[in-house]
Amino acid sequence: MTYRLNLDVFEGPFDLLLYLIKKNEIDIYDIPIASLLEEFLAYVEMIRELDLDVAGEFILMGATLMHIKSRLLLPKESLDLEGDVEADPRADLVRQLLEYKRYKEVARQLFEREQSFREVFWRETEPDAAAADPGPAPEEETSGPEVSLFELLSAFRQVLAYAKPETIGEINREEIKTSQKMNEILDRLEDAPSLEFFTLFREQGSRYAMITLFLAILELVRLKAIRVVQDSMFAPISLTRVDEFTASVREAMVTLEE
Amino acid sequence: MEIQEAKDIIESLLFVSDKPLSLAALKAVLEPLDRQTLLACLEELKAEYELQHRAFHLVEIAEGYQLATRAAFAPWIRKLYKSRLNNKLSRAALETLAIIAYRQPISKAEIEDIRGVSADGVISSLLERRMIRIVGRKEAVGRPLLFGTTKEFLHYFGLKDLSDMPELKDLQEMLQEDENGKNWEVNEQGDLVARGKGEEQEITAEGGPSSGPEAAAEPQPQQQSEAAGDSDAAASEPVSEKTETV
Repeated sequence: MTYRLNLDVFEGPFDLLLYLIKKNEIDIYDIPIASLLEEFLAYVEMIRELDLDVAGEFILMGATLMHIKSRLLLPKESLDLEGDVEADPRADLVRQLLEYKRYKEVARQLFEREQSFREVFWRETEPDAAAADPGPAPEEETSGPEVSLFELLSAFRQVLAYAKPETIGEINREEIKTSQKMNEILDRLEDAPSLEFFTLFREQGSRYAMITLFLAILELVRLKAIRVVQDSMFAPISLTRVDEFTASVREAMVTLEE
Repeated sequence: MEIQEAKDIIESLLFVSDKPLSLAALKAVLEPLDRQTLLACLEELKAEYELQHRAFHLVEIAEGYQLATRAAFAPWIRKLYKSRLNNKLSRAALETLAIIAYRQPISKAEIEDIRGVSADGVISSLLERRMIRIVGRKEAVGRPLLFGTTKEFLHYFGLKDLSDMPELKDLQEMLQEDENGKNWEVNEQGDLVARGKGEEQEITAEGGPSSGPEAAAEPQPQQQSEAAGDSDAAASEPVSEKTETV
């Protein structure tokens, strides 16, 4: 069975651009389009290679960047017919990025409110006697900001770079299912509170296993069965479990496999 | 009706209600009590709970008043109601909600324009969680559905009303914050243009340096006031943002 992850739940091309801008400490008002384009395409290529359901939006953004790049290459003195100064070809992109960024900022604040209001309880009509289920309280979630898809991809890129090249001439491609890897991760998270991203990959025998593992991680993140956290930009990435959902994900996977 | 009696009645109403009680609802029950007295009673109740260090307090939320437990007791409540925990919203959902809150009524296509990705999945899950609702159809080709936020949305984030939303930065403001951003400005069409470049061009085109700075300086105050107006509007009523041509 192949998993086709829909990237909708993760982020879009603007997120990737903002991520690259932040990572490379690029001045958003003076974007070096050529190098940004190159890096952008490298990520898109990787998403495609993983056979993630790469949304047309990424392709479109790539085309837009290429268009801007080509316009920047044109001689400066080219004027519009009306004699207006040629606007900076990057202007529209910058506007869109800023526009998106300000909503992202609000979204972050909403996230904080969500966090704090989860601590507040209100009277509810159906006190749901069945729901009253004294038991061990769910563990406090490990804090630490959640990692974005692109940070994950970027880490995965590093991992792949270390991977041993596939031995040529040996065609015994093991059948590793994404669902197996998902179960494996969940199993291991039952014994340990968290798993280190790089350690996990170092254990994989082949490139194929790594890719499957990566897809399994993405799927678990999407299902909210695990959280991928990182304390700061270059700190180690780790996987932690989200207890409330583990059981339901396990159930869902049994049905999936049938 | 004595104030103390009114307060007791209000307290009993708050106690039984499973959703925020609006001022209008309270007023209907407590007639002929006037609005002023009602508000005073609510304030007094609020202060009393604080003073007595009660386990709950009175919160203004989702266009009404409701009793809520204090955050400090969350671990114990969670122990009792293990399954009451609901799914947290995804990053995509939070962003979409932020956009809808400020720009409502807004169509799917307009949301997608801002986020740069398809909004199908997010919108249906937000509808399912009743964070947003369909508020009408746009008078445009295809008559697309328009979405707006709900009271459940306000409640979920502990917001009094839409004016309680975090402040949405103004584009002009964002440009001013950054040294390099100052080279740009937002023109009347909402497009971003390089500041200064037009000025240079004016000078060469007009052949007179005097007209240059003036022409460039003129849109300035207008821009500023527009920007100020926008952030005001955003603070008091995010909905009005929809008129902005961005």
